Amino acid sequence: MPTFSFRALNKKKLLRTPQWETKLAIRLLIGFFVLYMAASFLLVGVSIYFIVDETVPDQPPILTVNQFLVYYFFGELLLRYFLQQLPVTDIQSFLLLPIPKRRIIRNVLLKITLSLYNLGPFLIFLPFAIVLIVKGVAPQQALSWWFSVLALVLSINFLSFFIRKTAWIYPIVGGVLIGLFLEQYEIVPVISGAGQGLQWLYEHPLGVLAPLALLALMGRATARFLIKQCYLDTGLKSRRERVLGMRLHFLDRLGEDAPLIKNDLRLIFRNIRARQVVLMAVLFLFYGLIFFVQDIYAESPMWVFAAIFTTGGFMLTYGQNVPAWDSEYYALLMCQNLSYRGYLKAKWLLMTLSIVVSAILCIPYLYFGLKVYALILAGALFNIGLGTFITLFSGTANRTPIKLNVKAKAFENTQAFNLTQFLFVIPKVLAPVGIFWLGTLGWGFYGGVALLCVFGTAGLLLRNTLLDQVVKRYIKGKYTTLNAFTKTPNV
Amino acid sequence: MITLSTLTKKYGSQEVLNIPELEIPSGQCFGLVGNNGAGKTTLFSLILDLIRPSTGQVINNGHVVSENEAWKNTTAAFIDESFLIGYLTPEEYFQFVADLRQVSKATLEEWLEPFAPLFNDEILGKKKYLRDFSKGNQKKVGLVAALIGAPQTVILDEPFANLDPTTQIRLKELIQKTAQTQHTTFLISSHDLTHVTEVCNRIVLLEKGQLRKDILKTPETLSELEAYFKG
Repeated sequence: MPTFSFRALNKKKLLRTPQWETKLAIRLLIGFFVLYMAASFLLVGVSIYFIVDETVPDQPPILTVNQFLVYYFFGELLLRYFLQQLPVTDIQSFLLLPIPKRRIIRNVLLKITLSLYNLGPFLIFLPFAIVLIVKGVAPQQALSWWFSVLALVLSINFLSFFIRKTAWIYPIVGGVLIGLFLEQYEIVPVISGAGQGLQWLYEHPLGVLAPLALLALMGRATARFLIKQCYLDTGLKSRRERVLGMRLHFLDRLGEDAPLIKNDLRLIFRNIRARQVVLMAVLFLFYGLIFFVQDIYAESPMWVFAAIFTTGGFMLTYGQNVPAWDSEYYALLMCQNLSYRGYLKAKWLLMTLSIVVSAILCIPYLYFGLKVYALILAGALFNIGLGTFITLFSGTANRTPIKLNVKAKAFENTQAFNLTQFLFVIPKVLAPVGIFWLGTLGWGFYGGVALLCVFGTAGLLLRNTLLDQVVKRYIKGKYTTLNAFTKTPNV
Repeated sequence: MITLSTLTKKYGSQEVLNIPELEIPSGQCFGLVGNNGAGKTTLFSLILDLIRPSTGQVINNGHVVSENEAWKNTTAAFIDESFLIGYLTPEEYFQFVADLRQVSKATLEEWLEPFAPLFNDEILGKKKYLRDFSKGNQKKVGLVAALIGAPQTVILDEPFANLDPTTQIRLKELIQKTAQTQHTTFLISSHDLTHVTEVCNRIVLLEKGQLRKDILKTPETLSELEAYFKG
């Protein structure tokens, strides 16, 4: 009789994720990206020793690293809290099968231990430890230190379980803030104390037993905690959220577009996935800080990049997944008293609104000079006049449904990515650079700015024609999109 | 009035629906029965222009549905949960549909009042997103929303499934009353022969995509259908 194996199931689960089922080219692209990231981390790991040795020359690098590690651990905990998905939902399907609960839990623990989030110690700290050995540190010392770090990272891995299911995150964040405060004013050196603890572990190789014991303890505690959570009305219960009241009456003056815009705003604020993406859009506002501060980029095409990104963050992150945001109820929208034109116009208005708001929020960039802000405004105008339509146009190529209230897994954001959409980056981002460059050839910096404005204004004046073209494309792809979004079996 | 002509749907070489001709006059309560895979949902999806017909066309109120969106002004539907917007509260969802159908907030609130017994104090004012409601309550919301703005045609796929007995009875009354007072055309599919024969005045039976029976209701209709499905 064949025996039941979690491993076989896990393998199937991995191989049948949408990422694997996408086209080969995209899989390769993602593969390269993963390799690139891994290589970057490795590079960081190898070079830490030398960077630290150069920047803090008066103490051994290991001491500096140990002092810094506390922040690293804390950052990792926060990262896990906000991003890591725990595989608890898988438990439910096994509860009624003749498998001991212990085994189910063991599988869950194994799964979270093998998570991508635990690669840090291997990619960053193992190379560092090896460099230590090369530099003459006793191997048992470097390796026991590495095992300590590994054990601590895995303990944090388990800790993230608890803080997810309880309210522990607040005392932890509070504790760290108090620690920082005490440290800053040199009352009690809590943080550097913790750093010294790590240093002690490094100096006493046998001390590795302490973190290992902690790990064992955490593992057992998590297992026990999970066993208690194995009931439909405790851990497996989907958490009911409090309703976020949003009375958006003031939007009613937008007339017939109001219901759809209100709906989009609710979508953004009430769904985990949308919030994640919009948060990214906010980070785009700071994109200019990379380019506008450095003299080597002054008035170069890189400035145009920055100008497009600072105001176009929402358009690029949220906009490129139109219409997938509405995938869960796309059939409803297709049957309602609502034309495709109305639907797309509302999306356009929302993106335009975001660009205007971003342009206003970018006013502080005036600090870097009038030229910078002029370019940002020109970029905003280009985004409104052309960028938005290109984004909507490229959206028809995007047929991967989005689960709104589920956190994105690692690389899941690439799921809705495809080659056609990638190609649309050229007109969206590279074209403005080219237009600016052409303008500068004739009339210098402000010539480039003016030419960008001309293109943006032209798009704005032709907006009805452009929208018609977009609508045509959406109507053409309607059935294919519906089929992809509903994923109904062909019966 | 809805007219289907030479309507077929094929997936590859497999034909899942083939209806040479069918006419549903206004004000009719049209019931659709058939086993799984008979093509009921396919038929409704074609009428709602959610899938593309392989041949033929659907004409709703004078408009070919795949060529003109005007049919949306007069037609409403509830097929499944994908017709709900999970992150809205029931009130917001009703308002969203009402906005699209040009029904004012005040009119909507007044219109919703008679539904209080159907809602059984479990829907309105709960400060809960639709995605957190039970299947049955989600269905109630979807069914009621389909009636907002007095559409001329209402299409409901399996409206009785997942509802508790009291709600099933109330829904039957609601459909009959709406059909009588507003002359609404109802297209209803169901696995429940008793309910569907009670509510509808015409029953069409599909099997493997073919139209097998098309009967105007008589007292014998239920036993006739039961005899057919007994095989």
